[in-house]
Amino acid sequence: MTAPSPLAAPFPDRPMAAPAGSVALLGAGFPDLRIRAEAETGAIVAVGQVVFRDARHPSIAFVSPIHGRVAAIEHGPRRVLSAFIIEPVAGQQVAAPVRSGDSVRAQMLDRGLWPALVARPFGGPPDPEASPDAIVVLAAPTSPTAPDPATVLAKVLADRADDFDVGLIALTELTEGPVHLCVGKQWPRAVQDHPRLRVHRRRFGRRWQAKAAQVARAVGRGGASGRVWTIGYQDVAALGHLLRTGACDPLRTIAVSRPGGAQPETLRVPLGSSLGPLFGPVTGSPARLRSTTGPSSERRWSLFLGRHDVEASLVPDLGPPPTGAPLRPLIPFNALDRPLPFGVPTVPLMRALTTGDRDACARLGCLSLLPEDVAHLTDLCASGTDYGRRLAEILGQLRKDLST
Amino acid sequence: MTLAQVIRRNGVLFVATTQGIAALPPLAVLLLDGGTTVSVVLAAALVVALGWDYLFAALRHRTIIPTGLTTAVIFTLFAPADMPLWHLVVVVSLGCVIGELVFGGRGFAFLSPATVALALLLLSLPDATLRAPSAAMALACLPGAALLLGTGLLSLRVAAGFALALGVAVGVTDAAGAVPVLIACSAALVFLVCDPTTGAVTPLGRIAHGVLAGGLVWVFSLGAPGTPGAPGPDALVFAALLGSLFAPLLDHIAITIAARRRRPRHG
Repeated sequence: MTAPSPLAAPFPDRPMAAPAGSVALLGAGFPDLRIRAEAETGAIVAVGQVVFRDARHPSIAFVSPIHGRVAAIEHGPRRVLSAFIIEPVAGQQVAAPVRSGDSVRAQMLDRGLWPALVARPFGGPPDPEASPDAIVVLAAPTSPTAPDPATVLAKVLADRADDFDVGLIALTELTEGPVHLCVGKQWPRAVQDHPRLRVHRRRFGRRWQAKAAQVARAVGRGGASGRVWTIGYQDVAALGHLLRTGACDPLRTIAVSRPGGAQPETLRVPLGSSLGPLFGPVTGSPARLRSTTGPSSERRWSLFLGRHDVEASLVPDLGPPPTGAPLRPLIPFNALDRPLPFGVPTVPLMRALTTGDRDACARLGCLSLLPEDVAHLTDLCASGTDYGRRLAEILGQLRKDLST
Repeated sequence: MTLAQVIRRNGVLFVATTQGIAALPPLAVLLLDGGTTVSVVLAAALVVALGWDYLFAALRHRTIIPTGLTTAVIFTLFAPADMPLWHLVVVVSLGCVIGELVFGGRGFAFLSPATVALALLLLSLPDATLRAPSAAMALACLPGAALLLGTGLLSLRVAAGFALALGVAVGVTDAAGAVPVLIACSAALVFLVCDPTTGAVTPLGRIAHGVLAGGLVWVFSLGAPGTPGAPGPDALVFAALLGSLFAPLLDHIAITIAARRRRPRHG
């Protein structure tokens, strides 16, 4: 395993070769994902080869981002997938067998791009049979440390200019509603005309546009009472690449922040890359790796990049939260006044989540939100409640209520 | 370390400490004015409030958080200096216990214990008259107000709603008319009406909370003796009490309005 060579400039003029570390397809971000493996431990898999399928919806395939050997399949409680780990092997890369329908939907399902979609409400990949009320393409900058989507498209994906446009238009086949493209003011490209394609431009100052805020801006506050799917801009480019060339593009541009580092470094790595090689040997005070989708997103300790993550950082380990301590009160200081996206009142939602009041959460509009949208509240609250996890539990219960 | 991290780590202790520091300048002014009698009231209130804190912490097997400190200091700012000590022991005890500790302590209660103690003092002992702040004490509240604003523990929305409602109700038209009102309200507005843990929590609810408290101050000071226009401390205490009491209802209304706005819309 070799460490990736860091790029000299924040943005390379051409995509750099993927670092040869192991990768993992994580269960995190996919609520209750149980799998039907198509490659057993020890099997050699090629890039784009189907390694497992969602047991509930077997048409949703997950593909390998690298050419390698299946190292381990780890399960969490109740056989939910924890991590499907693939380690790289040297040698000739075998082309993945292509077997897929013609429609955009069939291609996304069979070639491993369906998990790029996130359904609201409840999160996770959407039902393969369903058709959303709207699709939102997230291409606005989400944080000061994440790579700027406009720059990534202009520089990193420069030689694949058409991929993004093809992917964008292809998304209109998944829905009869509009496809929204959320971009910053610096967006470098003209967007193709399409009757159902709507572009939302916004200048970004110090307030970065969290994903939920982008969705709320695109579909309006009431939008999430319907079915809205979201997809990242890099996945749209990968979709276009797949449709144009038939080849799987497993590389994503991410930012790596090191402690004390002046500027985050931009790397192009396979999905689910192991974070260890990105940082090299770590010395000094105890620190843990984490990867995030944005500043206001879930802060998971992780050894691998999550499916939708665009940032990885090494942060000081403050130790585990105190367990067994009595619940501490929530301090409603002024920073918590600002409502969450979709106009969800912050402190009332925090209280409802803390007490596990499902009905109150639903009334406050928690169905519009995903766990990653409220995870930052944990850092703002003295009570020690893990709001992301609480919302995931509440959403799971509400989903069960709806299905019965 | 950012402010959010400090608040996260220290919780109510941070609130109590900040509030205590904010109350120090007006307390110092009071001690310089009142001398021994004020010190006796302060010492007695401290002993009683901290005693209840300690007792409840011991009974619940928890670490003690000395939030009674701010209860005692804020109570002393308004308490009549000549009050009999047994009155003080009774009302401060009731304020701490039924206003705060039975709910689990600071942050879980819906009323400020100092407000409850002062309201009980006024209700059960009709002869008692609370201390109206002097101009020097009102000035001394300013640094504390700035500190609470800076740390996000004093809501500008509540304060603005309060000032607006009271100003309109009393009919303040110029700066000269506003000064006596501001002096009369100073300490009560900063430490009772804008208590950080017992107010409304939604933006709209906070404005409504301030407006309600300001309007109630005007209602309660109708026909009261004293400077015309400047509300008395008893009106302020009851307005703060009812404001906190109605804060959850105001939040509920604000939430209902927010939910109405979330109508399905695609496109």
